[in-house]
Amino acid sequence: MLAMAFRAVNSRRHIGLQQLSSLAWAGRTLLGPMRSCKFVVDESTNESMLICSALRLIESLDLTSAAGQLLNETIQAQNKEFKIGMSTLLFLVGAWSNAVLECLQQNVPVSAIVSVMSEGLDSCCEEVQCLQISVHDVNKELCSISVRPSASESKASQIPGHSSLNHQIFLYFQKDISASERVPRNSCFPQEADCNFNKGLVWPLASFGSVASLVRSVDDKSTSVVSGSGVSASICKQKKLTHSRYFSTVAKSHVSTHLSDCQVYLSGQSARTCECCGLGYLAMALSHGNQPSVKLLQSIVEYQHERAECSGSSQFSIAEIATCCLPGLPESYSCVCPGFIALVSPEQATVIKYFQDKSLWILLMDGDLTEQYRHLGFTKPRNVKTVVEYPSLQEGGSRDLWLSNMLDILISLKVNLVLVKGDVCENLMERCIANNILVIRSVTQNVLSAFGKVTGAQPVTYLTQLRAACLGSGVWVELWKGCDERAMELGQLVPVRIKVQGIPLLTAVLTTTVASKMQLIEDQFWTFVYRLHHALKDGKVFLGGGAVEFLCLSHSQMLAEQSLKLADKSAVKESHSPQLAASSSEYKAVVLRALATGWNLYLSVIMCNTAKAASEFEARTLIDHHLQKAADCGSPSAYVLKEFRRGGMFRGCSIPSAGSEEGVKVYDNVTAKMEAWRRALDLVLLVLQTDAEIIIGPKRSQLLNSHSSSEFMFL
Amino acid sequence: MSCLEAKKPSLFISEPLTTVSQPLSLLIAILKSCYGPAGRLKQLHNGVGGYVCLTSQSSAILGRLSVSHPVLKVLTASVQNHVSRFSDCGLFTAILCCSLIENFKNLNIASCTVIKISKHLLSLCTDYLKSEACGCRVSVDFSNLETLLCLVRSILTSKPACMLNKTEVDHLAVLIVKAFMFTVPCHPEAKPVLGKCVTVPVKGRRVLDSTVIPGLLIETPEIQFAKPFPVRRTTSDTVKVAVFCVSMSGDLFDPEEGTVTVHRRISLEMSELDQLLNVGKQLVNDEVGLVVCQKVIHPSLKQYLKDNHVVAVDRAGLSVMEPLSQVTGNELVLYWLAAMIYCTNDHRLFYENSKGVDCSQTQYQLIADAFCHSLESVACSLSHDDGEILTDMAYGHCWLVPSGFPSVTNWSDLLSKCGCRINSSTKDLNWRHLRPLFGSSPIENCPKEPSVKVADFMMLDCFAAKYNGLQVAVETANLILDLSCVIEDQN
Repeated sequence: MLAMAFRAVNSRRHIGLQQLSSLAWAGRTLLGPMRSCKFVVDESTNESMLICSALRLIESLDLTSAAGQLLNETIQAQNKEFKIGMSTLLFLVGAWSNAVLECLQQNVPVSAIVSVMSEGLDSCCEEVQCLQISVHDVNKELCSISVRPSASESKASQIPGHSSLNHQIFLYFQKDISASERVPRNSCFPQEADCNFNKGLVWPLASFGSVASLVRSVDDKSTSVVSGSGVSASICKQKKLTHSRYFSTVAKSHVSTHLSDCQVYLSGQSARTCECCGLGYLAMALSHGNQPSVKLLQSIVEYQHERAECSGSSQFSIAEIATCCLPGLPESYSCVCPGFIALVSPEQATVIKYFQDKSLWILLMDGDLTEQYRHLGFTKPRNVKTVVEYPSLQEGGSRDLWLSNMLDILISLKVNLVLVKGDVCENLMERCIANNILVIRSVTQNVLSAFGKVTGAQPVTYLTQLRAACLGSGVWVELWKGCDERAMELGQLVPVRIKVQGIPLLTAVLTTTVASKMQLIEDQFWTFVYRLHHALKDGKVFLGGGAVEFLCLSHSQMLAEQSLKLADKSAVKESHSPQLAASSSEYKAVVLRALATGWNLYLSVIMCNTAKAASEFEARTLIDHHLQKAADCGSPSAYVLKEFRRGGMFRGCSIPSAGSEEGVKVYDNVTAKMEAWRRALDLVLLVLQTDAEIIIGPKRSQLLNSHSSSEFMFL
Repeated sequence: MSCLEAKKPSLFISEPLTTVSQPLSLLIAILKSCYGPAGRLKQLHNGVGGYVCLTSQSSAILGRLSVSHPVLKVLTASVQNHVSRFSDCGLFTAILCCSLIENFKNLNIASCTVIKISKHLLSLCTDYLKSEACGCRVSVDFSNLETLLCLVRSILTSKPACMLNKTEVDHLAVLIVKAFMFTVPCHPEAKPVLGKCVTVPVKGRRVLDSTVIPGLLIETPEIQFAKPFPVRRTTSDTVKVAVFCVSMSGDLFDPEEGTVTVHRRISLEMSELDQLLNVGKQLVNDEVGLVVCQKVIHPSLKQYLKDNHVVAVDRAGLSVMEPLSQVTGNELVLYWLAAMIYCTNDHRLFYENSKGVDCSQTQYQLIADAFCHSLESVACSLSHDDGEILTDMAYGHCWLVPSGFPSVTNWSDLLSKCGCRINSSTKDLNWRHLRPLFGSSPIENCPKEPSVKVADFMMLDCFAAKYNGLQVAVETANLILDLSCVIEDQN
């Protein structure tokens, strides 16, 4: 007779809020530009992965609790819409959960917490509007910086404050680099070649040694419950560990003397100062110290700018960027190439030799290329029996029939290259190689679109649909060569480059010798791409470096003080019921202070992570000091603006410039950031307003028999 | 080979009311805690990391709960039926019904007497609500949008899980009223028919991006390689539309039983596709410019249509099918309008001796008390932070006291507006606590009619929904009281 279990949530020690707070605690080191990475270890397979984003963390955590599930959904939703701001969201969820628990301890009614908190945040969002600056103004400002003579010899495209440490870094890494991996002079980003070499190596130094904590997973998921202090994690089995150690052997073959014309062309672009295109500077300000990605993105921006001038298309198009991860190569090999770069097997690579200097016919397929594949929404019939008249025909089976049919179609239409969105049947792949047809699987939608647009190819779902009109032409394929002009083979895979005259698609080749860093590098690259994308979409950016959060903190504290004054003042006597007004003002002050706690914690954790403060205590003292100064100044927003211009408290955390007093100015995204705040607070308030969990489905009967059945009521 | 299983005998449960107390009180606790703008949310999930539904809405909760007690099954089915018709006042109906059952059950009076008298009390309530003297009814002034906006805002603010701030509530309220205005025909005929409003939920966008568009918006999967091509138009420059509600994915018919034996050289799939392409040819011949399919269209057919400049939209979903057939020229469906609205937060109480009901004065008093306390207990469940609930002796409206003021002698100083914000407190008002457990002295006279002036902050409810909810609650409670046995088919 029991169909549902029901668990009441204790209102004072709200379980859901505690769960949120402990889950979010795991992500506190992921905040800010100098985030520490985490190793996620799957104990069942012994595979490990380096993660650096809240999204990856949340994917690795055990989230069977309802609150955890909601947190996951919130972070996924932010990711889906913005691809950025997830770490901020995760952190604030934790900070505000704790703050709200404090309010509950002080007997503040739930409805008061909900209304004051959300009104408080709305008010903060309005207050920080004065810290917005239009993208246009950023470009002007940064351009004016760049024309100033810099201490370094290289020209304006040199990132301020960069050269001083180059030498050191060079020395640091020199001993680790074998002669064979030396980057030649004519590399992707030549300013002065030596300088460039050094710069390519900045990244490892920045990210090495920052592995702060190890998140261990527990074999038995059911036992890995969230406890008050710690969180256990486990890697989802379906996760693609793209950087298994087998990928990391570097073989040096296919040394070719071919000159990579396109790369040279790109290099030529990036050597210029780019007054024409301020986006490069904006990119730098949004990079938050991620130098290697800055260089890649600046190349992309310049290339796209060039195109935009010719074709009148948009300035920066995220759909025309692809990435190709090559674990096993030094990070200095990272570069941007027009066209599409994919990894193929050595057998497939042999086909390419046959293609040399030949214009090819291309076919795009938007499903799988297997016999079993059917389009979405198609249900296979049951109860259908096939009869065969002559047993001799059955020899090869229907499978062979399908294979030869498909191959016939490809051969008769003279298809050379097939890009498939999904999987490809192994046997067909082999037969294609034998017939000099290159088939590439797992190609993303935007890559297919780019090839479709420029070659005129129309994607098909089945080969049986194929007509000559669906094919595209003018495609060239070659082995991809790194900046040293050598083709290479990485373990079992060979990078090949597919290009078409005038294709807007760019591939960022991401390389690292540390296989477990591959995912992290790709994530960071995309984060950065999306930051620029959203900045342009918003048309404005926030002053970064914590300026916005500081103003929020100062503003919510001021609101709290105001309502306290209101509670004391005789002014309330004018209202209908002074008692009521006084009491609600007191609640208001408590809740607004709780809101401020979140900002305060955010700032102090960032200051600790970026080593601006040695301890949380020191950070708080510093924040209090600035708060006091801001209050004395009369207008906190004016104070923040002044500090930002001065490069004081809100300076970037990049390596300080040798020549100038100024630190690098940093900017943040507007909409993504404010949405992250709002989503974080909404989640906390939703969980706060929950007073019961209702468990439906088969789990109920298990609960009934379990030792925790006393916690539940059954309906 | 099929296996026949012997049918199980039906289960006979006598006196189902004797075992309902514990699950009923749990259900009532869940429902009461959800009630009103400050209602608490529930997390409904399967306990093993599945999808979590966060809600305080009766339709979402009752739809997912699988209650097994036959009495509760009757109750939830009846509430769900009400919600499916009115989309409002589900919690009110459910809480009132549960309270009535609980209170009547404890009376120890023959159920037929209880039923008779409660029916009589119901008729008194409904008569009053419909009468001109009704003090909690506001008529809608259609020359002014304020009342409609109030109603929409009240409903929106009673959904805490939406997490809407004031700006968003205002924005949505205006949109909803605007959408309603669009449904009113410009040229009234003898029998005016209202248009229909279709909601298209778009995930991942901000509330303030919501908008009302005249016409029908159909979501399509991202049109690949979107090179817009000129849509085929008829000679009169309009686009012919063909609407399919069956799947065009090339599925084979699924024989329920038996097997289809096919020769190897014949491909059922191919012949099915040929049929589809024939349909496509027909469409092209008929000068159709747009094909909308509720389900999936086979890629080959899509390709064929595209080559012939016909736009094909598949996976349109059930929700747009009916409006689409309307837009494209079929008859319009009557849209029901709630014109009368009354104040949500107070419940009129009546005591009147009735003639013609065969029972003692004491019995009548007890039943009427139980009836009133049930109504009061609905009002009381509006408070969730341990605050007091009062009613004034003049208007009979409900007043919410925030928590933290346990016993103030002069309530008039503390309170400024009643729950629905129609009445302001004055020094001469008399107060009493609304506590459903303790009998308290009722209002002696008929409540005064407040001087109703609609202001933008009033809390309003849909009259028709609440009126019907009241009837459903009382009638369902009566039905349940009358249950003497339940026969359950176990197969």
